[in-house]
Amino acid sequence: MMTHTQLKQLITEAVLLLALGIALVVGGYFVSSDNANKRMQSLYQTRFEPVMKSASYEKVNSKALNGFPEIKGVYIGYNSTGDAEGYVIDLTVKSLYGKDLSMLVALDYESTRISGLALEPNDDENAFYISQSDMKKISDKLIGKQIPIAFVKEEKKDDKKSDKIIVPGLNDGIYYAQRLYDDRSRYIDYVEMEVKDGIITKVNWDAFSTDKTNQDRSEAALKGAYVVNGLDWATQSYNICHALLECQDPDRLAMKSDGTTDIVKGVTCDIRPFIELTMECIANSRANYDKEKYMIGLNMILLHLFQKDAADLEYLNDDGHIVFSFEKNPEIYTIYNDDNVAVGYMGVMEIEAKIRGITLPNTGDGTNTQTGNNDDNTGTGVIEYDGTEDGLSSGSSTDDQIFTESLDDLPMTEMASFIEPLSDRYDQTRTVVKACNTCYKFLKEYLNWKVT
Amino acid sequence: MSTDNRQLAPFIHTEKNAPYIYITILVSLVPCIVCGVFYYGLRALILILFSMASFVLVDSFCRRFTGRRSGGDYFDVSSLVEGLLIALMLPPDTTLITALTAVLFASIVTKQVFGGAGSNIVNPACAGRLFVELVMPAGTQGLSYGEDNSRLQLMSLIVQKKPGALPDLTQLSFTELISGNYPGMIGTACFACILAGGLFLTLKGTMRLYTPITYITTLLVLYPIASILETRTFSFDGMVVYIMSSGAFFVAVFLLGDLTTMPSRFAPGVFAGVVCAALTLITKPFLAPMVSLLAPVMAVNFLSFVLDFFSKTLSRRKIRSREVDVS
Repeated sequence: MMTHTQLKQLITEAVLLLALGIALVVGGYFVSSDNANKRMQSLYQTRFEPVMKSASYEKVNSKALNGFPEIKGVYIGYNSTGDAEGYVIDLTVKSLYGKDLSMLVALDYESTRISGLALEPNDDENAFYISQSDMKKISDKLIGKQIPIAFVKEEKKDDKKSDKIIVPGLNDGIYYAQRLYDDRSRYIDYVEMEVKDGIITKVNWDAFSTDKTNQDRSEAALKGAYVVNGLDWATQSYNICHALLECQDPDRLAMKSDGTTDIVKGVTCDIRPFIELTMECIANSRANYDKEKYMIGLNMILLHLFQKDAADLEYLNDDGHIVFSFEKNPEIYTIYNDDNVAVGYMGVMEIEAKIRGITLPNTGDGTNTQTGNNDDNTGTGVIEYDGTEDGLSSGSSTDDQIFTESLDDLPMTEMASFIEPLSDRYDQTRTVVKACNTCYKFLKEYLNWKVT
Repeated sequence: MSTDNRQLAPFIHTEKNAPYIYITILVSLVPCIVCGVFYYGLRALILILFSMASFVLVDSFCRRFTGRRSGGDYFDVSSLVEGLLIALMLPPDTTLITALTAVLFASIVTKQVFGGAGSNIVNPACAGRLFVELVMPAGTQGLSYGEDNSRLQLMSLIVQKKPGALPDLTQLSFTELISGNYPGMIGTACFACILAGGLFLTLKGTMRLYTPITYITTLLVLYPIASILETRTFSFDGMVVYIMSSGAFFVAVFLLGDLTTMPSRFAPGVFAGVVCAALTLITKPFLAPMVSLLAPVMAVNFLSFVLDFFSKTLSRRKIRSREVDVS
C-alpha cells in the first residue's frame, strides 16, 4: 500500500489540480462564452429572419412544453433595447393525412397576432409538402390575424350544401341577454353572442352570482365548487355553445321538456336558460338591440322600479354585469292572460318598450316566441315547440343534428379569427391553421390565460 | 514523487505500486471532472458518482462470487478509475441504465473474467463505453448545448432525452475548444483539462508517453491524407477541431497511456500508437465517431501482449518483468 507521505502528497496535488481545473474551466468559459453566444444568436437570426427580425432571441424553458410534443422550441425575440417583440415557435404538426409539416410561427408579443409564418426544411419521407407560392398565399391570409383561427367559409359552404338553417334577419354586433331572476344557487344566467355577416360566430353562456364575492359559475365549476351531473358545467357550457355555432338555430338543439338534450355530446345539464337567452339574443339581434342598448334597458327597468340606476344601487359587479334578481317583482317581466294567469315572460327589450310605451316592430318568425308559465318556486319559463316531438328539433331532419368536433380541440367560442381556406388548397391551409392553433394552446397554458 | 523510502516494506520493489498508480490517475482526472460538472451540472456529478460506485460494487461482488476476495487491508482503486473513465466518456444526457450497462460489461466481461485488476487484456472502461455505443446507440446521443442544457435538470438520468440541435463544430473558436465550451462527452471536451491531467501523470511517472505522442503525431500526419481521400479537400482548422473535439486527446492520455493494457516497451508502444491512429482514421468515414475512436484502442490492447512478447524475446537485455521502472 501507499505510505502516508505519498497519500498526503497526492491529496495536496489533487486539491491543486482541482483549483487548476476550476480556474481553467471557469476562465475558459468566460473567455469563450461570448463567442458561443454570438454564434448562437447568429444562428437564431439566420433561422428566424423569415418570420421575425429581432436583435436577440431567448429560448423559453417551461413545463408547459411537456404537454406539446409537437413544439420543438419556443423563443422570445427582443429588440435592441431589450424589449420583447414576439414569440417564435418552432413546431411540427400532422396534416389531415398524417404527414408532418415543420414550420416557424411568429406571434406578436402583446396581441399574439400572427406576425410571420415560414416553412422549415424537412427531408423526412413523411414530410407534408406546401409550395412556397401556396405558403405565401396562406401567409397573406393569416398574418395579422389573432389566434386561434377557424374557417368561416367552410361553415358557410356547409350551410349551403346541407341546407343548414341560418337564422334569418340577424344584424352584426354583440348581443347580450341575462335572466331577470336567479336560480336556486343564486346564479343569474347570461348569454353573450357575436354575429358577423349574419352568422352567429361566438356564443358564451355563463352565470354570475348575486353574491358579488362569489365566482362565476364556470369558474366555480372548474374548481369543483359547482357540481352538476356528467361533465363539469363549464365544459358542458362550451359544448352547447359549440353546438349552437354548428347548427346556428337554438331550435335545432332539440331540447326536451325536462330541459335536457340528447343530441349534443357531453351535455347533460338543463339547457333551458341557454335556449331562452339565446332566443332573446337572436330577437335582440333582429331588432339591432345590442349589448350596450340592453344594459341601458336593464338600467331603465331599475330606474323605473327604484328610481335609481344600477351604479347608485351598487348592483354592478367587476365585469359590468347588473347583479340583481327581479324575483320579487315578477309583474315587471311576466305576461298574464285575461284570467291573470302567467303565460310567458318578456325580455328586457320588450319591458323597456312597455315602460317607454312604444310598440316594437315584429322581429321574430314565430319560432322564438316564448310561451308557458313560471315555475312557482324558481320562476323558470317554459318554451313550447308546436308540432315538434319532445327531444327533436323543429322543422329539420335528423341529418342536420350531426355536429362536428371542435376545431383542433378548441371550442368555437374561443376562436378569435375566421379566414377562408385557400381555394383548392384546403389541406395545406388547414394544416397551417392547425399549427397556429397549437401555438395558441401552448401560449394559453404557458401564460395561464383565462379564456372567458 | 516521494523520496522517503524508509517506510516501504522490503518486498516492495517500487514505490509506484498499483494503488499509487490508480490514485494518481484519479487525481489527474480531477480537472476533467470539474469540466463535466461545471458544464453539465448535477446530472454529470450523479453519473460520475454512480458509475464509480457501481463499478466498485460489481467488482466487489464478482470477487466475492469467484472466491478471489482480497483481504480487508486492500481496496481495489482501479474500480474507481474505470468507473470514472466510463462516466467521463459518456454524453451528459445518458441514463443511469446505460451507464450501468457499460459498467456491468466493463467489470464482468473485460475485467473479472480475465482475473480482475491488472490482469485484463483490454481497457475495461474503453470496452464498456464501446459496448453501449454499439448495443444502445440511441442511449449515447444525449448531447446538450446552449439553452437546451440545464445544470439542474435530472430527468435525463431516468428518461433518455432527445438530442437537441448542435452547432457545427467546425465553427468553434479555439478558446471554446480549449475550454470545452461545446457539446461533447462529460470529460473529454476540455483540451486544457486533459492536458493538465496528462502533464500531471507524466510528472508522476505513471504514464508512458511514447504511445500517446505517437498516436497524436500519426493522427496529425495521416489526417490530411485521410481527409483528401475521403472528401477531396483538406482543412487545417478541420484537423485541429477533430483532434481537440473528437475525444482523441482524452483517448491518447488516459487510454493509450495505460500501464496495464498497452505495450510496456518503447518500440511496441510506438507501433501501437501508429496502428491505433491509422485504424481510427481508416474507420472514421464508416463508423460512428466514438466507435472509430475506441475500437482501434481495443485492437491495440489485444495486440499489446503479442507485441510485448516478441519485443522481449528479441531484446538483448532479456527483461521479462512488466513492472514500472523506478525512476
